[in-house]
Amino acid sequence: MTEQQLDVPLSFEGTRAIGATLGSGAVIVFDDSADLKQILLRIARFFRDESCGQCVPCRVGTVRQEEVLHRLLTDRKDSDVALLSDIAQAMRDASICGLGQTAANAIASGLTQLMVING
Amino acid sequence: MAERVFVGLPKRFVKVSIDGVEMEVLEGATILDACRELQIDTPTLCQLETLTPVNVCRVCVVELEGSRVLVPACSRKVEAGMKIQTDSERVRHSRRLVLELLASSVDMSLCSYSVSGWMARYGATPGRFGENVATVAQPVKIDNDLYVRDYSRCILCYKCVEACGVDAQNTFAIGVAGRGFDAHISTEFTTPLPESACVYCGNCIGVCPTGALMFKSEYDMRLAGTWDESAQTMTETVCPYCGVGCMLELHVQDNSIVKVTSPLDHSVTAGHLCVKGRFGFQFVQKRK
Repeated sequence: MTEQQLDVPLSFEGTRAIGATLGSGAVIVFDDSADLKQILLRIARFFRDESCGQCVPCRVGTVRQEEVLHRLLTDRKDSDVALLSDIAQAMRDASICGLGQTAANAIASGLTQLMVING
Repeated sequence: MAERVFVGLPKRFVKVSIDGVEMEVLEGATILDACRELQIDTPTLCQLETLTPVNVCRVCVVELEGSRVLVPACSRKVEAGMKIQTDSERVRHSRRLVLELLASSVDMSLCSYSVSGWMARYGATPGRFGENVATVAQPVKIDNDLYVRDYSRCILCYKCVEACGVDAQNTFAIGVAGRGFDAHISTEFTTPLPESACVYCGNCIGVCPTGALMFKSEYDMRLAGTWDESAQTMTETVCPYCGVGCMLELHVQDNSIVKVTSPLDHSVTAGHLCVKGRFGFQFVQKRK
């Protein structure tokens, strides 16, 4: 979320209302010198690493999400944005556990913020 | 007086609705059982009648009213009042993506025809993830004379692990090692098969849906370009080795046995054999 959205209750409902997710309640603050693209890639890498590998949507989905995001951040293509959202929906709907079901949330909201910041 | 036999408690029927069709299903049945009763062709990869459902492939998912996420038809049991959609936009989307994710990372060319049928039905185009994407491609493991392991074809359906474990063989020679995309089927400490606990029953080959596990005889013939299923006949017989009475299906090409299977629905084997029935057929074709 951006500076303008900071006045929000730290609750599931509050964060959901502004298109963010509460996760485990941790808040990390970045100043404007942080490279948001690298942070997003770091999050994608995190979910790829944390996938246990049991179900297909999460095991392969988190890998494809990182690959597509990598492409997207160097060369923005609408087809890749759509692909990312396709992967996200399948992970959310068909993964066994909460990790796969939420692995796309931070990426999606981060990408939205990136587009807001970069116009 | 004859001895009393406990036949179990009577089972009830539960009412569910599938794609708008109201039906009654015996309690304890899965959504997949109900779908099959209605003759709704439901894709499955990790499901097999003779194995405990592991619901990992997620290709059978259906939409259940009131559920936040889709549910696996293969393992979710029917409950009274369930309203299920098997062909909604969400279901089609997830089934399509699961097939695309698998086919973009695994060589699925030896899967049954039904898999390509599902790919077509759900419009799966695995190539859309791009060209330089991660795959499980790797060299074939050939370390014994009976069967080969080509894990570039492995979709991690867990069937071999289950057949090697409590669902059939109780040998526990293989399991899933590693995590995430690196998860793979392995013997203990990745030892070669001859040094592992494997007893070469071949029951893992019998349940493998992708050709990752294959008779060495089939592998060699495929490599030589002589494997021709249309030229093969199948002869049913009973295993001659012991008195159990396992039913064998001898797959014969050019008057030689090239593969031995057993039917899944056979009361004695449930598709499973031992090393003798599965691989001990050379004496039949020893010609003097």
